[in-house]
Amino acid sequence: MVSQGYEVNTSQYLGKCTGCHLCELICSFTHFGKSSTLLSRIVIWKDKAKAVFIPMVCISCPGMPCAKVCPTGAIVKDEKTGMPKIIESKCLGAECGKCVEACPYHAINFNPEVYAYPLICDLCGGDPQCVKVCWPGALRIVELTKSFSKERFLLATQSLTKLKEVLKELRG
Amino acid sequence: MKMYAVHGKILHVNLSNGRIWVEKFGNDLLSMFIGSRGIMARLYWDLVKPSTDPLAPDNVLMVGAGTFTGTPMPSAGRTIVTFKSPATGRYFKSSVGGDFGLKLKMNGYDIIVIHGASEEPVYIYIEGDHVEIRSAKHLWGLDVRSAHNELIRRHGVHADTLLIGPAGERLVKYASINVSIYNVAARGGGGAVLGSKKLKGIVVSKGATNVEVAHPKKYYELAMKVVRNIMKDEALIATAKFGTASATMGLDSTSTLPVYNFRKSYWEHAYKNSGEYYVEAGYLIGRVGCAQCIVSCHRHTKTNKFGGVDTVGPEYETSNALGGNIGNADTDALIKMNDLANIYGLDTISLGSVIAWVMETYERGYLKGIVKELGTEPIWGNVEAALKLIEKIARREGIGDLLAEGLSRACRKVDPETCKWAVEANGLEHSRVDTRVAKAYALAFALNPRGPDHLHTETFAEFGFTEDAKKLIERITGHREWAGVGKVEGRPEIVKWHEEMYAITDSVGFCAFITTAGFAVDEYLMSELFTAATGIGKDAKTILTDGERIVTLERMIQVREGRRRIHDTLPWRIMNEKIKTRDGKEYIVSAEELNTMLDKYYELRRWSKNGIPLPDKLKELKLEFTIPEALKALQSG
Repeated sequence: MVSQGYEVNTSQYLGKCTGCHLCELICSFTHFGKSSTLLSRIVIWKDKAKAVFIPMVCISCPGMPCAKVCPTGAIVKDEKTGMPKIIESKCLGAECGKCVEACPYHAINFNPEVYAYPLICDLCGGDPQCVKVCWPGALRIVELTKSFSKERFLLATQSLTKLKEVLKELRG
Repeated sequence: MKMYAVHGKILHVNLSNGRIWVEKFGNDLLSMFIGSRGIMARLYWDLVKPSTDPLAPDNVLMVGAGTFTGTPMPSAGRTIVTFKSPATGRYFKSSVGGDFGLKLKMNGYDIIVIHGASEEPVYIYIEGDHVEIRSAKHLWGLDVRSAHNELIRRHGVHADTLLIGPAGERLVKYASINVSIYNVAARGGGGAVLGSKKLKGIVVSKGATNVEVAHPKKYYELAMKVVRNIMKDEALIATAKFGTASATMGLDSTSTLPVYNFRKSYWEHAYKNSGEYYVEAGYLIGRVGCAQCIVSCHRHTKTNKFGGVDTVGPEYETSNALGGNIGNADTDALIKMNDLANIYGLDTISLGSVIAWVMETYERGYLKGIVKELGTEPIWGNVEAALKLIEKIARREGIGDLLAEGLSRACRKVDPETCKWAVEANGLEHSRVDTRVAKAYALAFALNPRGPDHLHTETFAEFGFTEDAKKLIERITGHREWAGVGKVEGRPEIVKWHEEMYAITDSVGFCAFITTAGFAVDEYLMSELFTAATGIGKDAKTILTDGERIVTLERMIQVREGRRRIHDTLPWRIMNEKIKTRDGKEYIVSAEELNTMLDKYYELRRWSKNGIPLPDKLKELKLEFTIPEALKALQSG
């Protein structure tokens, strides 16, 4: 699916996600050989009372704020997919967590109690498993053109705005 | 020994003395009883005495996650709730979607067993090994939505809840148990059982445990196959698009849509109660998925009327029970009623049946005083009256106190004559399909341990709506032409297969839509999935035998609770009043017709003429521990 000159990306379509969590389970299953929502590189946020479901996943912003704040230079750009990649041997793990805070899109899933390092979407090396199971169509593979790049940011910003609203409401 | 797909852990909580302990189980139990429903039926046999009062502390209520729940298997996130029902007085299992089962597995448990009763309102909080009984004084009296939001504020956005509403607290006999707010284990009054235990609900944290399967590579391939099967299944495509209420027009066209309290089986306003209309008229805001379910048939709906309602549902059963059944073609009102039933914690099928009975009873000259109490006449289609009745039932106010007891008790109190149009049997109000016309449904409903209801054995293939459905009927009976309504041929065989498949479906956590309404997984694929998940070898034949074991154990539980052939029956109206179909044909389930089907069915199952499983069959199914009870029942007749 990935060939040279292409960049592949998952994209979030607010309103299409039905909150089923299958993306999280297939993500952890294919990466770790076991399923856990905490081991997933994509996270579904929910406001169940209002039936709002928001998938948050790395959209590989060009500035890579996660890499900028990393004190050990453990986050690099993966040449094939364009996604930020954590070199675990360099990562400080639970002692640090700066990248998690720096990510504007809540797209780094970090649960030190189950895994020592933060998790960032790696597009499964170009063949994202979450997209395969997302029948509702919230996740798609789209060729990264200039116009889509813009659209993607718009969508991610919308998701983020909605997520902030939801968290404010739910956390009181 | 390491277990796969399940944790092998049962969490026991005794609310009387605050004791909390974990019981382990192994592959022997899993292999025999497959998962949640089967294992909990086995536990019920040991834990619940035939003499136990459903609302007394010694009743237990169990919540179990499916064997495939927590793995990347689509549409396998359903949770089973098992208890002795205050509506039927017998063993009852209810199935529910939502996220609770998934989160339960993520916290390291397969099953929760609740014993005893608390004196003060409490809830249970589960965070892995940390399990706590906490005060719920501040939550008691809250509706389900408010209580959920309050608990999420306290325990985090990724936690999930199982809750009762005010109806459960007040022991309404058809109070529901709600998961993730809008997913409902509705039938049988499980909400009242929790209410009697003063348990507002259970919270499961985001959970830091994981689930492993025995053969990950094989399991992945099979999961992807199930995904592909779902995406190309005709019935599931319609369900994804239009929800369960996509069934309305199909039932209307086959004259199996019960309206006006089962006095008509098709309706000129049926479209207003249909999933297609909810989309077309703009009520649909979005779709909602239960855990792991890519079909996502649940509906997010909105109306600006009735002060504005933003909610989830209505499902098909609700659309009919509170729609055509009470003469209601006002979709805004339907959405409002559905929301009220959800947040108060009421089963919409029983609720709609009770309201329809009130309307017919009033029409026939009874209950004259009710007009003063409601401020309006309870006549067909009067949504104001229906809304008032819902409020009164949930709070047990005035006439609501009587109606909260369910049809079987309410009709006897008003006048035994009114029981003729109280469409219930065994204490449970009849589901929303006309069993006079759909004959496999009739037999399945008569045999159902729950009572006349569709969510234990749904023989949807009988209609032959799709090619897959026709093929299944042919595979079971050898006759393709036996698909279709009004036919009696091969019904015992059809029911037997569906009962067994359904028992497995429930136990592994699949939605019935995957196996017996849509047809993405058959017994062949099911056995492969089970083997890859658990490492326990099964084939299509052995997995159906496991289904038979569960069905037979459930029958033995009920035999011990006094069930016999005489209870394998249908509501009076279904067996005594003919229904006319669209094309002028008349149908009824006569005693003779039902008896012929029962005889054949008992023979297939090797049960006695009185519906008691015979000892040699019990031995063959490795249910020896039930034989003494079977012998006792056979002796007493």
